[in-house]
Amino acid sequence: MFGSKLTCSNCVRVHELLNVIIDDEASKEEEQFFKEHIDECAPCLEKYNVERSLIDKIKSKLSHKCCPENVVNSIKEQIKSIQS
Amino acid sequence: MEEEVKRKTLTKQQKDQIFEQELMTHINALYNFAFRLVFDEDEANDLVQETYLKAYRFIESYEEGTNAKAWLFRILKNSFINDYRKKSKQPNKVDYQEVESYYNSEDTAVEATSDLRIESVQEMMGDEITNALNSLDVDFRTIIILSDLEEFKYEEMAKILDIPIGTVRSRLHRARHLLKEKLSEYARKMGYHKE
Repeated sequence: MFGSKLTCSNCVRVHELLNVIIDDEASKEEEQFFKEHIDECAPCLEKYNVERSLIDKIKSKLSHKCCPENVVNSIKEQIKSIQS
Repeated sequence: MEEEVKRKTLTKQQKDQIFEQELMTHINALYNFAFRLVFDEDEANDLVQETYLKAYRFIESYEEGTNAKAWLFRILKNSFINDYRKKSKQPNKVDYQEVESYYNSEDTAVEATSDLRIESVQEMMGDEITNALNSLDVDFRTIIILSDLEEFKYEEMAKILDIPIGTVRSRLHRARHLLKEKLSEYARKMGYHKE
């Protein structure tokens, strides 16, 4: 339509929705509103992309640390020794 | 609340079976959470052991097939608050309610300051993200781990943290914003931002 807009009247609402959308907790209506909005609003689309890629980075870069084997064994031993 | 203890009587064998099949399967996620709370392997080990022993003690109040992972995270979080925080050297711990109300009141002003760009995020290696996350206050750090790493839903996080869903949302929103600010600062220093 008008290409990239710097601001828009809906941006405040869209920012509020951003987290809910990213977290997959938005209602169908909210999702619809959000999709229609970012199709037209470059700044909001950029914000969405930053948010999305940040979370993807967190997921991929913060690897899970494994619980040491001796801790696992120690827990199992303690449980075994507990009488019912 | 759903927390109401429904006592049932289980044999030792039944308890052990539930423990092994439903609880022990989450131990790596629990350890990871513990480590990211305390930043110390020995303390993380203690916290995980304490969590599992408590879980076993209360296993008759756990309903099979329900969300075991969320239940364990809740126990670990409570152990952390009750034991670790008391003896930890965190004298300047800021009360999160205070932090939250401050940030909530500054909502739009804070929002406007984030200038993190997608190119910057994409160029970042794991260390920047880890350091930025670790520098956040423990309550903000916790909610990011629960949501973005462990993928708990708002409702589950509300139960794990004993806070209303609205607070989960606002705390998560704040936490992500603070994380972006840290990363933005870092990106500026590293010259990722080409003004």
